[in-house]
Amino acid sequence: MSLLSAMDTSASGLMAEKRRMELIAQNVANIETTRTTEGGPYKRKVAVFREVLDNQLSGNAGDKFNRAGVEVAEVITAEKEPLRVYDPQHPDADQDGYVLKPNINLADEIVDSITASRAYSANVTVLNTTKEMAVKALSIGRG
Amino acid sequence: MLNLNIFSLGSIPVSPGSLINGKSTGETSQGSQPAASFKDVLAQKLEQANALQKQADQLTESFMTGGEADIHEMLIAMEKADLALRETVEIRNKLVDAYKEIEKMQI
Repeated sequence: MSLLSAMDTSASGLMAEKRRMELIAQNVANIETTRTTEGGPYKRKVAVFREVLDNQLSGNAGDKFNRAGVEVAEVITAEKEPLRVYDPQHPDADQDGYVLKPNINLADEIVDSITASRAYSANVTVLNTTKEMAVKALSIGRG
Repeated sequence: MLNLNIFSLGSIPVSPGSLINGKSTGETSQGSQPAASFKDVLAQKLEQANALQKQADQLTESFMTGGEADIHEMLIAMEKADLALRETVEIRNKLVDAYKEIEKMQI
């Protein structure tokens, strides 16, 4: 059933966009974070996608579905200089009263989240269209 | 379980190759490779539909109990199970149609 493998492809898209959304949530949640396990302020994380395409495209599909779609290849940490904010009351302030804060632009993150959400919706639309096709195929010969 | 032998459909080869190669059905059934019978194909389809239902069940349970499953995984599994069931029902309908047609036959 090759239509089901098209559904799997859409599913991989949903999974990738979900992963991207998780990272955006992480970035927004940590917009004020000054302490991390590796030390220093939080650094923005970005997902990098990679195409998945198994070349088992020959022969009958049978039970072996051709794996195709997208996956998160890696999560990169943006190496942008942290912001230096003057806040002498802060416990993590240095001797001059400056605190290193994550260099995250909220507007960028919100735009990214909208993009991820739209891409997710697009994958759902493709999935529904695939299903519609399968249902249409089942109505062949019904008049 | 359906007893398909009453329709004698077990001997009908459904290998698509026989249609493409233009061979008669008699040749195919007597060839070295026995063609998959309709009964076998139907049983396999039922098995597939059942497996998809089970997978959907499993993912639903996992999602409901706060397991690893994602909401989209669960819903896609349910859609797949739904499609497989519809396909099975459609095949059943065709089979019953064929049976009725034979039943109506005047000898």
